[in-house]
Amino acid sequence: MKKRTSKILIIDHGVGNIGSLVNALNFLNFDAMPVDHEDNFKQSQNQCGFILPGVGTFDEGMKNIRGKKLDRVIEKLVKSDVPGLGICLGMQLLCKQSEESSKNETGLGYFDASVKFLDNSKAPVPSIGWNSTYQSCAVGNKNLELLNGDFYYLHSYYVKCWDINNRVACYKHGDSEVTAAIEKNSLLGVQFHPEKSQYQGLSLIKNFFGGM
Amino acid sequence: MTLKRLIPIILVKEGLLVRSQLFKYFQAIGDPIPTIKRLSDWNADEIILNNISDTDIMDSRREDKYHNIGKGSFIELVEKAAKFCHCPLTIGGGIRSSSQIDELFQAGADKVVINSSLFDNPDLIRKSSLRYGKQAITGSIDIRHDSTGSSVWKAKGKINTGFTLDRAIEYATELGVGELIISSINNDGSTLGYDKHIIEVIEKMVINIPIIINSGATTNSHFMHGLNSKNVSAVAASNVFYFTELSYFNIKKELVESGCKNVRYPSIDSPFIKREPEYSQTEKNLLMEKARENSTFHKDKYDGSKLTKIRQCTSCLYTSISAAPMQFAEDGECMGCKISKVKLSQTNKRYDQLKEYLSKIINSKNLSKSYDCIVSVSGGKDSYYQTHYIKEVMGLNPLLVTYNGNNYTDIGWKNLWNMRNAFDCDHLVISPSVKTLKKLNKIAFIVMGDMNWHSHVGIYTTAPRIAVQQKIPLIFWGEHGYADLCGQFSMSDFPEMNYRERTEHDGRGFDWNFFVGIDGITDKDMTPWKYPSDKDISNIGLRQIFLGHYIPWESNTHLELVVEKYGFEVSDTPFERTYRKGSNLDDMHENGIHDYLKFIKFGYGRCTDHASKDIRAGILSRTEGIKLVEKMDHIKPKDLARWLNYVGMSERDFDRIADHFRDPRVWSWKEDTGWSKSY
Repeated sequence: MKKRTSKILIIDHGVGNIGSLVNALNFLNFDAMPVDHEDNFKQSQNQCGFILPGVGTFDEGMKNIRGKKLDRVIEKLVKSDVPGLGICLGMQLLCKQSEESSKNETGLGYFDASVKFLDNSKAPVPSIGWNSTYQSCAVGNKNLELLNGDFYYLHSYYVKCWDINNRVACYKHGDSEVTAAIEKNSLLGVQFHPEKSQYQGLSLIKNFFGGM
Repeated sequence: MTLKRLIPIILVKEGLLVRSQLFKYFQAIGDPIPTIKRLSDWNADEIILNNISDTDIMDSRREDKYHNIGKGSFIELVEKAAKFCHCPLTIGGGIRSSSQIDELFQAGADKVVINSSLFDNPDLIRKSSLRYGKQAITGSIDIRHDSTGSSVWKAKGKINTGFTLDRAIEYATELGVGELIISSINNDGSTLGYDKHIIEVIEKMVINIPIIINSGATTNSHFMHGLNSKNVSAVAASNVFYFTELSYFNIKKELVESGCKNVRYPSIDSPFIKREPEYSQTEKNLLMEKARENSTFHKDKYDGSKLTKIRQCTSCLYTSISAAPMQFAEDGECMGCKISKVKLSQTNKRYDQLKEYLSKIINSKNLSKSYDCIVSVSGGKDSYYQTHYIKEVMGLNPLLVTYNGNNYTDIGWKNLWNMRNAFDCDHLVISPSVKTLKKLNKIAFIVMGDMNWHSHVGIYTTAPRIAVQQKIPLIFWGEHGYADLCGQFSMSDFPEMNYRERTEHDGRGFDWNFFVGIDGITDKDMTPWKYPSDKDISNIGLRQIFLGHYIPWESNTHLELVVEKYGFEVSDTPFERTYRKGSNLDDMHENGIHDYLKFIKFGYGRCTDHASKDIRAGILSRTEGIKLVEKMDHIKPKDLARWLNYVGMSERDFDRIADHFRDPRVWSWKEDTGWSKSY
């Protein structure tokens, strides 16, 4: 067994498949550290990144994040340029707002984007399964060339980027292009589940956190 | 475009992976964990793990296995499965509350499947799709056709809901499921392909959620039929993934090669997902701990109060606690007896058809220029019969390959070396270093209560290793052991030898790399036990056929033929632990202490095996069988002395270590009377 040195924080907002994520990170020899409340958070040098996971609905996610003051944890991490990965709902929570919200709940607002319902007239919704994903513009993080390939998706809502230049990867749902990945400074949001996309996804996680 | 998924469904019953037929007959395949890991290795698009247990507690304790799932809940199984699964994992079975759903997501589920609660508790669906998003909730619909028509059934196919299929689809969609899986009770385990009624109904409907169809598919054309149907997002199957080497990969590959463009191309050589289980030093130390003189041993679990009821087959002598995973039909007969009856009733016409299948397989292979095939031989009666059939009846030119574990009986050794004379064949015998063999004998006894790990795994590794080296794409084995013992497969499954069976059943989850570093054993020392890579196997298109599936197989008859025609010799001294004379002459411990350890573990031995076979064959009555078993199953054999001397161990240590493997459901301990059996 290799020694685990790099710690990755998992923002545990209560609804989420954090079991899958911890397994994937451990497999990649990262130390996965779930944080479930601001009170249990201490910033330190050897945190090489954080993940905002996501299974669940927008409102449920935001309610828990605010309730557990995890928004303040994320703010501290983003301010100190710790690389952050938002997965599926996690990516959507980093946006400004969502059509999924019944109460007009606002998101964390780091990405200039809103979340909209997927069009079900040309292809089934939820979108479940593997999609050929392709890079659509230059990526800031040079470790991310692995965005081209097949990834596993499981979602009913998608991220609409206000500035198309933030949309770094897409896939085709029916005949429309859907955001697969969005990047801003040290933050990357991915609509697919890299922790469940076998070699392709695991490599992406490893590369993003600089562990290859 | 979203690629269409090919989804394996893993059915788990009381902790065991099962093959299902008509939602009624279940045949135990083994542990779910190694199969899930294997499917994930092959880049499966998604795995559905479905719990069809009748009770909440699963009990598949095996102190001698690496994956000792033990006694626990289904959730614990999900947690373990998720650790090995790098593809989406969908979990179903018996979900009735939101707290269960929460638990499953925490354990590593990515989606959940709900069947009966769709009808019994619609509120659960509404609430869960609000909490988790509808994409995380898959509804499951089972359809049955009978004389009254076609309708949807719930509760594992036991209760008619009165819904027609189209109405059930509309109903579930309105409730808020994000996806539907539709199975056919009639086609379950049939190998007949997808249910035409299901495809007809869904093609006519307007459906805008993904639909998965399931049940009956085994061939390329079945899967193609499903994938090309309107409104189908994914095709699922279960049993077919247990039959062959690289099954998932090969099915996918065949689909792509026959022009299917909307599926993901599979891969088998992911650079950092390893096929072999990974063992930590801590795990190794813990398992070797038993060797220590004063190691702890908890006798309190054998107080008799925790005994689970053990079932015994109403026909043969097997019980539910057995070396081979055992399942029973509703009438109390074991699946081994059931399948044996099917086998005995096969007509000559059917055998003609089977011979044709076999010829097709042989003709489909570009046979190598040197040898047509490999026959793996131990020199026993079955080896003789196989070689006779392949050489004399089928006219092939085989290379005979043998693993020599250094434990041959004199007569077994004589029979082995006589084969190249008797059959006019080339014969390759691989004999590993005796020093390494002694170490492996000892270590394997300590960690799994079986000194013969080296031979079980060695035999099933040597032939494929030679096949890959010499590019011979066909290996013949005799009879599929577990299909015969516990009726693991149906007569139309044709299982072939593969890495999963070798590692899980013959190796008990211990592969060659477990031994590296123990007692000075190096990576290189383990070469004879290294199975060829998936890629090498795929490159030569290796198939490992059990001849027993295609021709009538009755050991007693074979023995007569090979004695008369080829000078095969039977033992002149009777065995201590069985009344038969012609078995396992290749290993003096196989019928001796190896088998005695089976008695220590499960409470029965070779005599039960042989008597059960003879009862099924109609040449022994059950009463006669019981008498023989009572006389022989418990005997501590004399070959123990040779083995203790061979590896350097005291009998006291042997007994002390062996006790660790006793099954607490079979054995109880009292200070004054010692060990006693519960049945």
